[in-house]
Amino acid sequence: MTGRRVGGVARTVAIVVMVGLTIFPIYWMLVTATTDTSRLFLDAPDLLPNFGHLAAFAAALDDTALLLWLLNSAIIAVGTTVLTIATAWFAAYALSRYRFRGRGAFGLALFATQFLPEVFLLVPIYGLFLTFGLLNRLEGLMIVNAAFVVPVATWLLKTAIDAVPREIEEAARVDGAPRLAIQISIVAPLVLPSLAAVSVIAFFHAWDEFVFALTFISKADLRPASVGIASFVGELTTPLDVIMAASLIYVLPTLIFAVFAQRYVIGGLVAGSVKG
Amino acid sequence: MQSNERAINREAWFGIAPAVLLLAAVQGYPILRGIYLSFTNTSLLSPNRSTFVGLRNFTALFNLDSFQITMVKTLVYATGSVIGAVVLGLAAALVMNGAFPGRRLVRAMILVPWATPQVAVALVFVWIFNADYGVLNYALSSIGLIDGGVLWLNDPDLAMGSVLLVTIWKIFPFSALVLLAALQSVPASLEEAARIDGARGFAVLTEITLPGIRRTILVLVLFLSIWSLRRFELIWLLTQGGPVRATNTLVVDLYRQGFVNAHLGRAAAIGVVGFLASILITIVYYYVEQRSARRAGEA
Amino acid sequence: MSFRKFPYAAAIGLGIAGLLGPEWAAAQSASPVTIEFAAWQFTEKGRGEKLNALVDKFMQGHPDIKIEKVAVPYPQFEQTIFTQAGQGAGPDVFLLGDDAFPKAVNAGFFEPLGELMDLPSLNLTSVNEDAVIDGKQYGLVWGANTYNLIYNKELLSSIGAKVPASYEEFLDVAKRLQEKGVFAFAFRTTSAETAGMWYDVSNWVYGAGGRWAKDGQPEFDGPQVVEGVDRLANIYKSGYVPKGADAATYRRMFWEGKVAMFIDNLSLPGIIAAGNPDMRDKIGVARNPFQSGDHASLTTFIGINANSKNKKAAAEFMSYLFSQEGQLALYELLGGVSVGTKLDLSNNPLGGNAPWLGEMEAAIEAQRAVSTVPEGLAQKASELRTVMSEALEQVLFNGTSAQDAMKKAQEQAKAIAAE
Repeated sequence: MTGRRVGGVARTVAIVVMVGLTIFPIYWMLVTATTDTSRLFLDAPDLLPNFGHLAAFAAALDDTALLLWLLNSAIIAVGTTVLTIATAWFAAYALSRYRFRGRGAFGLALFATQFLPEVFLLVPIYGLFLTFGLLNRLEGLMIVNAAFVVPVATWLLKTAIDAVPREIEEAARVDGAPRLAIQISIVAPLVLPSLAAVSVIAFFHAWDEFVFALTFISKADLRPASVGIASFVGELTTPLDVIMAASLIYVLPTLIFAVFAQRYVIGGLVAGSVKG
Repeated sequence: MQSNERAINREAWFGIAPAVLLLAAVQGYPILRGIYLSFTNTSLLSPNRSTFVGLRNFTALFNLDSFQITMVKTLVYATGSVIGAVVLGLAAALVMNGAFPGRRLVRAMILVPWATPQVAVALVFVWIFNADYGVLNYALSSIGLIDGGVLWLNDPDLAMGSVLLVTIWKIFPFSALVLLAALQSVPASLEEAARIDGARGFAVLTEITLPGIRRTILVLVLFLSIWSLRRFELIWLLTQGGPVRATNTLVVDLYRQGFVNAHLGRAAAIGVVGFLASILITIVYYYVEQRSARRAGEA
Repeated sequence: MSFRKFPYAAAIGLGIAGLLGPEWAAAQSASPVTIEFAAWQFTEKGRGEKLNALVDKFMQGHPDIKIEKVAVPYPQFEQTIFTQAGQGAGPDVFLLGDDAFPKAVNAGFFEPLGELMDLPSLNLTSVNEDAVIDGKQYGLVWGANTYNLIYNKELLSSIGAKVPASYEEFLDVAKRLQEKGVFAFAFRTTSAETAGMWYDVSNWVYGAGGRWAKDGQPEFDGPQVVEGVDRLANIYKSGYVPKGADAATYRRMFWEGKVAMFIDNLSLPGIIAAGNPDMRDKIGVARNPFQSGDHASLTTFIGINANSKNKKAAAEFMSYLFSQEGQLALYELLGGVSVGTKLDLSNNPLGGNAPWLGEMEAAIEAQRAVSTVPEGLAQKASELRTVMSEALEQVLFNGTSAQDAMKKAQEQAKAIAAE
């Protein structure tokens, strides 16, 4: 009996500490964003956010193109997610259901792509995109981002599809349904958690992406938030409170996305990890 | 039989076609070009004009003691971040595994670091680590652990630790989620049975739970290791590989050589070395996987 | 059978249409010419609005030219431009620091301006000669900045000190300020600010009478160079500077009254006054407190991309920037830093808002501006900078002596110069 209760208290403490440490940096962003610069260099920092001082947020939203940047980030992220799912789904299905020539090679190639740092590929991809007119286009970033996420996405979806019994598909095919329809209306709903997990991975990756966005986009109105916020780091000064305010606003969408999708993400990763 | 096989092949190839197209264009061609570049002397300023220099970039690299330091730093970074992420992730997963009030909320909050973009992470941690006005030093000196003024990102002895701290913070949610998912597939009945037999908590953990998710842990370690070789923005924004190369991993070195010093050829050579290192890690993984599978009686 | 292939065909078709569509549409409309202008100041508070206004003013007067404002963040500016220009792309008009300018000209990134603009009519200052390579003017001076001692008058008078005129006086003032609980000085020490570190150290090296290189040969271990580095390290180890603070932080600390002096560029007084209007009358500018009268200069150039498809429009924009009206606006934007042409400042746009202008001019008169680019080694500037900053980090953080660190740096520098 005592053992169980102690376990309960210990667990609660552990959870509180864990969550506290995890959230702390975001909390600190909030505190810094609401701190007047004159109070930033005291011996003891203000530990609580001062909700009366929201000037930094106003500055972030009014004086800059933050909202436009966020819109661009959203477009890129959604586009990346759609492209990733569209591409990875068919590949995953093929890998899962068919024993075809080149299956091993394709799987290996997918895995090998994980070995390459993005910065290594920056210059050649830039040259490629320049030739095909994909620079200064949000679509270009969608394509690049998707290329980096598709391998992991394919793996996750493949293991999820593996877990779907073939009999279900067989039954539908006996009924005369075309293959594509089976994939979309029968198999896909059964692996919804994995699709959600893939969406989160793709969305977060695109939302976060910096180096390619920095190099490939020069038009001010196409700039995503990652680059926009980095550009607050000026040559001479860096307005800390405004940057923190802008960063908080930048973090919000993915946070909300995460909160809603977390149930599916875990479920989606179940299918992926058990088979290994 | 033959035409059926052909039909299967065709269906499959159609299925993988979009992926193959995307990856061949965006990764395949650039990789080949990158490998080619590593054998040349090319400048960022004129990337289409190359002079072939054979293995000179590679021999030059291995002769530099600074490159040896880079390899060491990369190893330290990879090991540190993976161990940290797996251990913390496991702890988090175990703690979250039971049912308790607020579980949904806790899980959502664990995702916060994963959802926070690297630019924002770097900016806030630089401020938290500030030697004179950062909250970390304030907190630690308030409870008497330090004397104040610790240079988290500027002291060559501490910089790697600080960068690892930030990295682990950022990646442990992913690890926690993967492990939590795996834990949930370990039949609770097994653990119950062990407990009824009198096994204490820790023993249950090491004898039943961990082996049950062994495969997952291995795959997680594999992916985290490979990804740690690629992680760039976070380190660059925190320390640019300094001070005194304390945090100069392969990727950071690659970027500096290629984009600050404009030596694309040398940067490509570093990239190739990183590629080979990843392959090495994978081989090690397979070996370990087979060994542990055999030990668990599965292979 | 065909149904199965249809979705693929449709997807591919849509994809192609999506990619090509907008291009085709754009080609159809008759257009104002669009040129891209890249500068890092666009997103900076204070300077950003002014630069935006300047560009907008140009567009108002030239409805046939549209300017795309490209704001690349300062820390990544050079790398981004180089990546783009290296492939024959990049903005039509862009800024570049004097350390990267020679490299860019060598790579063919800039178009000679002689044909495109009426240079003799512009009344250019002599600093523009630094942008003449092989007899051609490849760029013009956007801002000719220098590094000077900037100090808090109130803090110095509170300890009864006058402005230090030598290193010994400086040390004395620093010690007294420390006793009062104020940081005497600040300079860039974080590894994320290698470029800034270079400018800061250069002032100390020049002040001691040293130079980084002579005739294309590095002299990192010259006695005066070592002395300059040693002095700076001494300041750091004595605790006179806020350790680990990056430039943005310590500049803010200055306007909050926590740092008394720094050797920084002349755009700073304006920034400080903007950050804390109470400081406006307390900002003092003086010559560097060293025996030699040499101080570091930081020139930013502006030029036209050799691969630009709209050079004429770009030249029109440049001509506007270098007109009397444009130059006065630039002067105000840069906070009183010298611009590329000789200005008639009888109606100084900064007016009473910049009480330090007189002292600033006196300080510049009293010193000789020396470029931070090692003489004859312009192409290798960024690599030499990395060598230098590592050496300084060794001295500051690892306790290596300045002598040993610079000796090692000299070996590395010679190897780089020899490549």
